[in-house]
Amino acid sequence: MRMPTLDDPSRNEDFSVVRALGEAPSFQPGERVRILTRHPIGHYRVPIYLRGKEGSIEAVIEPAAVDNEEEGFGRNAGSKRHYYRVAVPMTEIWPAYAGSARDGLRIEVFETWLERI
Amino acid sequence: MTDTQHIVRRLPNDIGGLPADPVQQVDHELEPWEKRCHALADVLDFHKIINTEEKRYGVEALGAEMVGKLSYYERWIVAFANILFRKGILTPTELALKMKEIEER
Repeated sequence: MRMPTLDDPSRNEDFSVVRALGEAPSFQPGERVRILTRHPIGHYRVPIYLRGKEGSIEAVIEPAAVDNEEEGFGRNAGSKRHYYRVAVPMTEIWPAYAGSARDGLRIEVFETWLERI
Repeated sequence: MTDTQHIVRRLPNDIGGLPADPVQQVDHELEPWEKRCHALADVLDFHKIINTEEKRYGVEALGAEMVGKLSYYERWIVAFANILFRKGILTPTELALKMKEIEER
């Protein structure tokens, strides 16, 4: 690929957003994911009842953001990754769920808590 | 797992799925001080003194008894005091003197 020079008018179009390492979303809408099972202490934003549950990416939340588990300790800067709106069926969360099989929960989860399945 | 590990692993406000009484769905009329507390939260966040996430952590750090027994805005205001002490913006003595002054009005 030809690299635009600094004064090339097309440069802004091609390079208007330069992503830092890890800033490009790792997951895309429709992909199946599992919320990781881990046990942080002190502060976390993923409730215990959702750990290990499977769902699908409904949306990538833009722009990339600082991990709010870091923000909890007053750190507002640092590496940025995306939050994803994850759709999880209620029957996946509560095995005895008696409502419609189409019912689901939506939650925004930071990238470091998700794995592709 | 030891008997006490769950105390460390589960934050006091992470209660989804635990056995509980039915949810009471009633409207609450906010007290004037509660509205001021919410406004204070917005001001602290706007001026980048305490962000929302720090406030959440501050509430969790109050421990299970306070999280369970204090009201919603009581948790906020106590958390704000602790965080401001930690950041050196306010001292416990300053807050105590101000509270005494207001009580005597």
